[in-house]
Amino acid sequence: MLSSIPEFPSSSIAPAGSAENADTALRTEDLSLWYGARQALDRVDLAIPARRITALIGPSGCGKSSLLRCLNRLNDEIAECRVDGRVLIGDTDAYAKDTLVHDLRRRIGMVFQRPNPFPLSIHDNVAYGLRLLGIRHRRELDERIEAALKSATLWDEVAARLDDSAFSLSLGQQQRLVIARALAVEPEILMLDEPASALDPVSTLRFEELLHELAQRYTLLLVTHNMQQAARVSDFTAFMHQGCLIEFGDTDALFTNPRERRTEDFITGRYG
Amino acid sequence: MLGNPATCESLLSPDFVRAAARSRLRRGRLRALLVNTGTAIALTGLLAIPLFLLGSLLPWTGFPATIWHRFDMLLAGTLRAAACAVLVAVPLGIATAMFTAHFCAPRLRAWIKPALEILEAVPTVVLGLIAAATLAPWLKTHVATVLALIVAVPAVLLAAGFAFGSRVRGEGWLPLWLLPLLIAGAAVGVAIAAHRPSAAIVPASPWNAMLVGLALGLAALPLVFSIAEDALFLVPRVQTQAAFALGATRWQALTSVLLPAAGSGLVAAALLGLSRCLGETMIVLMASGNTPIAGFDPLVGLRSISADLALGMPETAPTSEAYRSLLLAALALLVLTVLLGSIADFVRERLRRRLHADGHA
Repeated sequence: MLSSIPEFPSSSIAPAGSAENADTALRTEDLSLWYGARQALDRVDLAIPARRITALIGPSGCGKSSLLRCLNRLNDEIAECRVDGRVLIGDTDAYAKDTLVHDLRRRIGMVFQRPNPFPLSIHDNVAYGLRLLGIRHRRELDERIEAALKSATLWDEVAARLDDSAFSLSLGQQQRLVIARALAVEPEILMLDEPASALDPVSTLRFEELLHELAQRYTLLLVTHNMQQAARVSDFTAFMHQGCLIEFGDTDALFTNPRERRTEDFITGRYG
Repeated sequence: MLGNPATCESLLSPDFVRAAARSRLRRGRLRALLVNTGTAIALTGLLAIPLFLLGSLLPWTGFPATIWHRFDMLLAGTLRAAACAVLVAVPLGIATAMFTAHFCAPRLRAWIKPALEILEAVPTVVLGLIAAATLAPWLKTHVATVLALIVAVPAVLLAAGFAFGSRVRGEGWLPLWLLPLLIAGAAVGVAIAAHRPSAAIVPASPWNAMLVGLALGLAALPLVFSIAEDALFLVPRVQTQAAFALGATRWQALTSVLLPAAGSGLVAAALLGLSRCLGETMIVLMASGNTPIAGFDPLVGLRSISADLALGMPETAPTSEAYRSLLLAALALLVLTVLLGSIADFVRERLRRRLHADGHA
């Protein structure tokens, strides 16, 4: 699917640095967002490279989470929310009239700040998305669930107790369960909105290792408050400020040699 | 900086602080006493009702068969009226709640909820008047029309949905579009029926259980709606968001997340609606014809416990057998409504605790 992406003759900012010729999994063009009269995003042009980890950093309220919710159109649920510009997932225009929103969302997995498993068993949590797709066959469900849990490096811990409640797991395990749930429906992109903010340091480390493994197969978009985390985990980093994309580039370059004054101020801790 | 006692003393001397603390304690105790007394009085009132009824009934150990016969008739009437009303109130109330909590455009929701709460505030005597004076004579010749409309209107809407549903945008406003359609459809149906008065189903009396069901159902609708809506709206947003993010359609999110989570709240809504219908007096009094007929035919009149109490109490001597039968009926009504209310409360409380635990697990 990803290999068939056409080249877009567009003005989107590709990350500066080594990835000029990498595939693009997701692209925004002139994306603006308003909540009522308040503008949350201001003409964001962004091209997310495929099968890499891209981190979104910036001070609170800079529009990182809003951007994620634009990409899978979760913002549609919010009243008086208005979007302008284009979002391209692969070669699908997310805001085109004939786009099926629920199928778009299936293609973009999302992990939230706090683990939010359903009040169901571990098995049924991972089965949830598959059942939405109409997969009912017991054997097929079980195979896919096992594969998803293995991808999320949770299988060994839960294989013996798949019928236990998801809430019997630790927070770190719950967050990996939520990832398994998202992976089960075979998304192309996985968006993570500050996924480690509720986790303790050991779970966080474990979680970051998982992100590295997932990046072999998926495009990861990671919103984080934690700059060390962005520096440790990501290949590319985008810095946002007040709804604008300020700088986007190779993570090492951005952190060691930022081009913009505001980026430098932020990563050196002068505000944020 | 704290080492200068002189400045501290000049603001708050130890004596002053101690005295102020004591007086605050005293005032607090006094107010707590008032609050506690108020609660105690309320609880006494609550206990007094069943105690009074039991105390009045106790001197009589046995009841003659006539009392039981009469009681059975009244209970059957009450249940028949309530069943008809619940058939109207529960499906409509829960459907409206599902729409308002999950499909509705937020601006419309801000308008629907207060509107239905106003319906709740309409005095039941007004609903009873409309039912008895206007609806009853019409319904007498149009039972078949009503039944036909109940089948035809949803069928037409479903057909329209299959034909044009995919082209509808802005489903959050859909009921407003359907409203004129619905009114037009009903008007056409009524007009057709007016030309050919159907003699297919003729009720024995213009005041019957069906009429009571329509009016009482309308009266109980806001209660069912508001409890069901609260239950659905209480489901944590993160759960619905997770469903949406996994590719659930709006309907799938409703059936797979909201309904299982809020299911017991919906049961509670139905039970409280039933309880309300059992106790309601004015509508039943005005629209039921007050005819003492037992049985389960919705097209004949009925007499309910509540209506019997309201009518019978002023004209019975406190020592007579009729008086005892009234007390027995009152006690039964009390037990029934308290029981239903308690079950509903238990179910709701369990739901609240479970949702709360899940949200913060």
